[in-house]
Amino acid sequence: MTIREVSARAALLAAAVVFGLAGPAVLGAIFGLAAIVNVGELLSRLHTGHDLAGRILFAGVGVLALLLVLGVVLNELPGQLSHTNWTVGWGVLATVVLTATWRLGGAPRPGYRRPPAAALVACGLLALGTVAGLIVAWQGVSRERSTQVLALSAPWHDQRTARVVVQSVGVSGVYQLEVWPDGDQARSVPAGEISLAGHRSPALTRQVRLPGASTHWAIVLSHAGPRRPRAREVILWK
Amino acid sequence: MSITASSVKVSAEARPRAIARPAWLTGVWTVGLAAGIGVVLQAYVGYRGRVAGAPPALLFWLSLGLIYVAGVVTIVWLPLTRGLRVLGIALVSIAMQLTRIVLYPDMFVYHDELVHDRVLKDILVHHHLFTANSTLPVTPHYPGLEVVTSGLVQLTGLSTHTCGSLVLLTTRLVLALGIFLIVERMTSSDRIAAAASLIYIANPQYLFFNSQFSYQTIALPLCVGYVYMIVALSSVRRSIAWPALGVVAIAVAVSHHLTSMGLVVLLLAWLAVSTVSGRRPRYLVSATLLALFCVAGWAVIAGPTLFPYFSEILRHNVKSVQQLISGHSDHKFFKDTAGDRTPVWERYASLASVLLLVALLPWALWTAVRRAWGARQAAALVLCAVTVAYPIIPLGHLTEATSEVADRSSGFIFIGVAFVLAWWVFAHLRPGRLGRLPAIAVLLGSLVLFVGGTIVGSGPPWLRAPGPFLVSSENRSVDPIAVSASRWLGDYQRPDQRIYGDRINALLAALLGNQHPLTSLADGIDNDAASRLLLAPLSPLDYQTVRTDRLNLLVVDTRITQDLPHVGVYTDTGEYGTVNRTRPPDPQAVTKFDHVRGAERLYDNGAIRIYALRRIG
Repeated sequence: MTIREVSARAALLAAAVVFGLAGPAVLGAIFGLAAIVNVGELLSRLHTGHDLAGRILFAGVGVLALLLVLGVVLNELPGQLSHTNWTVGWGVLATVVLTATWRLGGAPRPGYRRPPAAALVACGLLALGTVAGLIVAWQGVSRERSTQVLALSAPWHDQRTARVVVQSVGVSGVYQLEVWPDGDQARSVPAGEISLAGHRSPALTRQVRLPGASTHWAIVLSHAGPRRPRAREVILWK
Repeated sequence: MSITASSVKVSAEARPRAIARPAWLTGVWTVGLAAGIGVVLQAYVGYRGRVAGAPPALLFWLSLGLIYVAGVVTIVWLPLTRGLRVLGIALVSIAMQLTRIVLYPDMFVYHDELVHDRVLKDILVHHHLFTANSTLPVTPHYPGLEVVTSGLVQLTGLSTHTCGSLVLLTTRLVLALGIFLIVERMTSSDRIAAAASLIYIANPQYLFFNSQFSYQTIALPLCVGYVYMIVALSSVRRSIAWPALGVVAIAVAVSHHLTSMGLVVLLLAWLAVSTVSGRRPRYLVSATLLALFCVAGWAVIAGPTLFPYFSEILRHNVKSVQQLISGHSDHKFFKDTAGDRTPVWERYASLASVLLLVALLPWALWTAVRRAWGARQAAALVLCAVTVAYPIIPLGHLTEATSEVADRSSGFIFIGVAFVLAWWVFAHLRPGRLGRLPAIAVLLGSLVLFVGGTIVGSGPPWLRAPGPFLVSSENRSVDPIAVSASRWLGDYQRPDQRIYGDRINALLAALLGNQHPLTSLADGIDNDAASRLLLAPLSPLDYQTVRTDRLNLLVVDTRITQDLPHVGVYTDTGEYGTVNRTRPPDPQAVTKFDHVRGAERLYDNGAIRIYALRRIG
């Protein structure tokens, strides 16, 4: 390797560490991936044969194994598998690999020729299919995520009040919150109205007063209107 | 004997004469085109499954078959250069993995994937390894896949699912190239190597289980890579070869218990045979010792969780075999426990693939053994020995428990099967000189192997693609309703509370809700008693179970009253009412805690209710 090549690779690794620690997320991702590919390429030079397949295999196995062993080693250090340790650890490891390859005179061997046009076309077609496939797949996922969900919950309460949360996806309309003390089916205490917008709404939180003389309460979310059918219900005990 | 040598007369130079074919079929780009179309069609299958509620089964198989057949025709049949053949294999392998990603592009949904995703989450949240995982206690002790993925997450800032998918794609590439290069070294033919790589894709676990975000998915490619490295590093000096082998040996040992142990057995066999034959690869002894040391050392570290796990599997398998022998097995072929039947054509296809292999393998094996023996090829002999284990795969399907073990062994066994079969078929057949009829027969045979083999290992049809909710059914039980309930646990409940629920909701509670699902394996609970909380009418035992198990939360998916479980159980092995179950639990039994003093229903989304039971009794 020439000094120029070593310098360029070292600069890439340094950029990966710097952007990984403190840079914008996009640059961190780009330089992080580039640094991993860079190490993979250096490791591929261990393969003494002349074919690209063997070298890609060495690069793949090498990167997977090095990341894995680095993780196991970092686990024993202070800070363990924190972001800083990973970034700095990978920077150090990559520098060691770069230095070793440089010192051992590792150089790219034949096999780095420009690939034939058919190969580029084949890869391009698969890439195109993948992008189109992901677009179709995400359409399906977003349709599925718009499945109607209406949830009522009471994550906290004491003997006087309860915090009630209403979460909804794809549900619209006006709903009524009521408190039914002691399972009494005859009398309820209104606790306010909830209006749902239809799409994925943020969780709505309400403080609900609990009638003090009861041992338990049912908090009910009903459709607003004369018949008020019960939609969701939580049960709390004193 | 080194696996580099070969006395086989088939060589890369022995190109067949060009056969008459359409001009458009002459390049590797046809593989790229077929792979691209196949991926789009699989995405459409997933889309239809989500939107219309019925993934089109014919399109599912057609799209996969298109990728596979294009690979066979182009890579094996046509006179390509070696480089293009390698590229073709890589494209087919990656496309097969991409078909999995486009079916579930946003999250991992299969049982084992949910377990490993939780291990990954623990590493990312707590910044250390070995956080206990109650759903499968052994997994945090073999965290190879999760460590690599978490490293990628930390180094790139990409999402866990994206990084997991990138790692899986890399492992697929490594596995494909590894098998190709190993077989090529043994046969000196890139055509036979390509054929072996394609036959390997027909193994029952390739498309489904071994493509999942699960520990064996990374371990097997690392093993194959390790074996190739032993040979490929022969000309490298010791100071470089030993560290390189050592790093990969550690990686294998940390990744998966059974695969790493399988590697050690394989290396010991290779070492023994090559010592007898007198031609041993330079680093085989050191590589075997390294692997043995790393695998044994790591097994000692993981021992407290490893041996209960193995003994549980063993106990379950022995019990299934005993039931089979005594005629009390309730295992049904081509039918899941909820009564869903495999379509008739799929049954015939899977049987045809098994019969085809049973018919061909003895001849292929006999030929391979004679050749390998004559050429003193130790590695080839070891692969022949591995092939002999093939009957384990179909015979294992005689019981439910053994079918799981048998299918999982296919990832290993098929390396031998693929090598032996490809060596036999393509050393005899010169594709360019074949008549039309034999050519069609070979093509159809490979298609039957692929489709039938995939059906054998992929389980019931509902397991293959997204679709409407099904009771206790892995991917089809993970729907927006279950996900929203689990996310609520994560958002509104303190973490690591002791929780009990059905199979998938318990896993989702662990992954998305940060809770601690109780299991007999990790917490020593009596699952018969615990499952009564969900499945049986109220009894005094329920109060005792809540107290004994120190249960805080109970997730009740009321939809379990709609159907029998599709995977045999609603919760876990040993649950209440498993024997001769003919109908789902009573709705009143499932919702009984609505009427129990002190039992608080904290969450209700219509289908799923979450109860706090800490104050009952």
